[in-house]
Amino acid sequence: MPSPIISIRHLSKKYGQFTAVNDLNLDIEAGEVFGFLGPNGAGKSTTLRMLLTLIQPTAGEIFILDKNLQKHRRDIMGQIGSIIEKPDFHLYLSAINNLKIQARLCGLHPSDKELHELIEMVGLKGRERDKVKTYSHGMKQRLGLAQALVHNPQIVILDEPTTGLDPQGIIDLRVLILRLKNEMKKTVLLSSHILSEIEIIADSMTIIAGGKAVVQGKVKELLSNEDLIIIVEPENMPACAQALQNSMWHKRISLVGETNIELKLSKGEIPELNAFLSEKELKTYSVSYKRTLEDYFLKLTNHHV
Amino acid sequence: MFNLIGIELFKITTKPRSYLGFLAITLIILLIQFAFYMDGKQYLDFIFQSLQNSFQIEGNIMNGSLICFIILQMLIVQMPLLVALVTGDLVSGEASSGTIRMLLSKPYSRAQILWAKYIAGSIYTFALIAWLGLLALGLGLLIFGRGDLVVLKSDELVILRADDVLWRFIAAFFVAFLSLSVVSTFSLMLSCFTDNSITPIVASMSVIIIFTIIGTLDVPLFDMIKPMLFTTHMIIWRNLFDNPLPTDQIIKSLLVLVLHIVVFLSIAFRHFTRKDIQN
Amino acid sequence: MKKISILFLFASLLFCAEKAAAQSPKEMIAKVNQHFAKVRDYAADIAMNFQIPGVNIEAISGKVFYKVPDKFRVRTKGIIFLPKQNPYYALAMLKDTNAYTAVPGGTEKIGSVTCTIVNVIPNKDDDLILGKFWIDDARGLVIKSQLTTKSNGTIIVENQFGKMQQYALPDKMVFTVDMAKFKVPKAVAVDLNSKSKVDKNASGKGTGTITLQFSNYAINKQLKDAVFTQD
Repeated sequence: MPSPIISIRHLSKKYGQFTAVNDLNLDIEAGEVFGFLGPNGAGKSTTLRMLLTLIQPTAGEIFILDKNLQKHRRDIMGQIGSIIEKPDFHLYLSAINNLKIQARLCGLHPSDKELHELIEMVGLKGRERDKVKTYSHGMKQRLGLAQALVHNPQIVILDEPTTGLDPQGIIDLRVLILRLKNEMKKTVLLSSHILSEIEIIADSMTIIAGGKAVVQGKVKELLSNEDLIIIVEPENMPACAQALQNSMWHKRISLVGETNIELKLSKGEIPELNAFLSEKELKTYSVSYKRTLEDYFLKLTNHHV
Repeated sequence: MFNLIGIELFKITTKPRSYLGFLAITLIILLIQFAFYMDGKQYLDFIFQSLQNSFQIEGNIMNGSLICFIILQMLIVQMPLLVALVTGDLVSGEASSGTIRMLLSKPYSRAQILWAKYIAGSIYTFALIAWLGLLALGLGLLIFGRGDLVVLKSDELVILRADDVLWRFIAAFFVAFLSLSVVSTFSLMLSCFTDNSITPIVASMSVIIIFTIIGTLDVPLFDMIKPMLFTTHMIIWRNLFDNPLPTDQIIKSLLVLVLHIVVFLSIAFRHFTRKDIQN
Repeated sequence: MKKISILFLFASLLFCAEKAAAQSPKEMIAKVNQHFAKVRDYAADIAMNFQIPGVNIEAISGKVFYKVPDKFRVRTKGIIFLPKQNPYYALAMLKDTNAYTAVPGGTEKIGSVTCTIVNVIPNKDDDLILGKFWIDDARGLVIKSQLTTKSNGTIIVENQFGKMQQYALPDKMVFTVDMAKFKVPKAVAVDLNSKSKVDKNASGKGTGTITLQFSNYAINKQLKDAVFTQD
């Protein structure tokens, strides 16, 4: 089995008494899109900055491409492209000159043709000679992606890349990320605080909270339809609650609230539940569902807000 | 490394603010040369009036060398600001614009990046001095001609023969470059500590002004501090026009300036290579 | 008898010597004029040295030109200080014997030369107030002169003669000029961190000295007037 392209071992970062990242362990496989989730202040950004050597870890090790990052930094950094927080540029320069600088910083001298192809790929054709200060936010995001790719890295790290994008922009970005993975065989590390975003394109994911990884695994497994929370909002709350508690569903009840009842079921069991409620003539305002992980993540996010 | 220096120089040369210094120097020099061309004789008559009562003074006093010397005297306050305007922005400018994140996540080490910025800043400083020399001396000699240099010291008038002047000017420009290198290194050092461009520039100028004031005050308390201030030694270029040449004093000042550069660079490197990039 | 003859001879010799020594001032000046009249013009190489309080100026070499009656020009590549008076003003003045009254002023030894002092008082109201000449009457040369003028104060000129003494052309001339001590006006002197202290005991007046050393005289080569006017 091939070794992970990125391997984080016991990574920690402390600022005085405050621990931003706490004994983080993580493996990211080559060629996958990895979702890095967490509420604001969870330690995502700090972790990514440590991957990019912008921040020195207090403890732990990072291995990228089977090499220790601290010892082989020069070899590794040329293989990583990134957008951290937001893409930034020399605003007084044109897009193409910004890209040239980025390429030269990696020891490359791409031809104008290659740069134009990249510009076209991110949808900025015709604007490459304009000064970046004339660009809209969405255009800057696109250029940021071009900047991250100009030196053809194996790993692309994107920190909340959809921030500030309109719905079409978000879709375009998703298409691009999938293209990076499927066509260009790149490994993409995507950080976000929006679960649905990760669900759509990531292969694996981790949720980080309080500097620690609290959930890790394949997205399909973590966000399966086998592990749902069904929310029933009955017209007659006491009657419905009693009926469910006296039935075979009683073991699946996870919460009886003031206005709704939650049960842990799989998606396939919902029709059966509907049939039971209909049989008992228990009318409902709604029957909906959410994934347990979503619930967990929402609680995590609200707590940190 | 040359690649990195080339990138830094490209960034400097494409920033409009980099040309402010050249523009300011050009305007000031042309203004002074014009003023002396029109009214220089009156100015010199004022200086020499007491001597002219007793002697007949012959020779081309108002020549390119004198005008160049006067220009150098006048620009002594402005030049550090013009240098700090660019070098103070080298690191903090990238921090405030956010481009520092991309720069420091590239294969080049932080030390290499800072060296490249320092060298590019030094090249800029040298270009500024070279431009100053070209206009002040080159153009001055063209307009006003060659001749002996009259140095107006506060305690005496020193007249240096024309053949003895050119090497002094070249040495003075070199010393001025070294002096301004102290300023550029100092502002670069401050630039490593902040995330905005204005602070290093303002702080550099404030320090220079305060140190200069301390240097001119005749207070015994400050006599101990004065030899340690780099501003005390920045004006050593003037001693190159003394006769006889105070070689020991000049060498001592040059060493003090070099020491300041080494200290400021060391602090800058130590901080820059270790700091966490949070912005 | 023999003793009386020797005595008489000795007395005669003394009388003659005394007669010879007791030339009138005008006769001495005439002798000086006679020497210098041989020179219509000359050009020479010159080395100039300056000792002027408040001025640090290096020596310089150049060329000097003279033409009767008082055209004088020094040409060098650099800045020089010259006495305001023409160095040959005194000699030019002495030529017109009716313009002044010459009064003997005793003798004085300058170096190894015993000089007769002749005081010259202009007969009419002129810029010159008083002239004093130390004349080596044996050679008919002015060793030293002191001229006091209304416009330029007092100037002393000392001459040293060598092989050109037959033309009354010196090898060396030293001018001493009264002057107020030069100070660079504060408004133009920018001398930060200067360690120099103002000498409060220094008087406001002093003297400046200009030394001219002549060599390679070229005499009576019919110099053109343009030499004295063109830059």
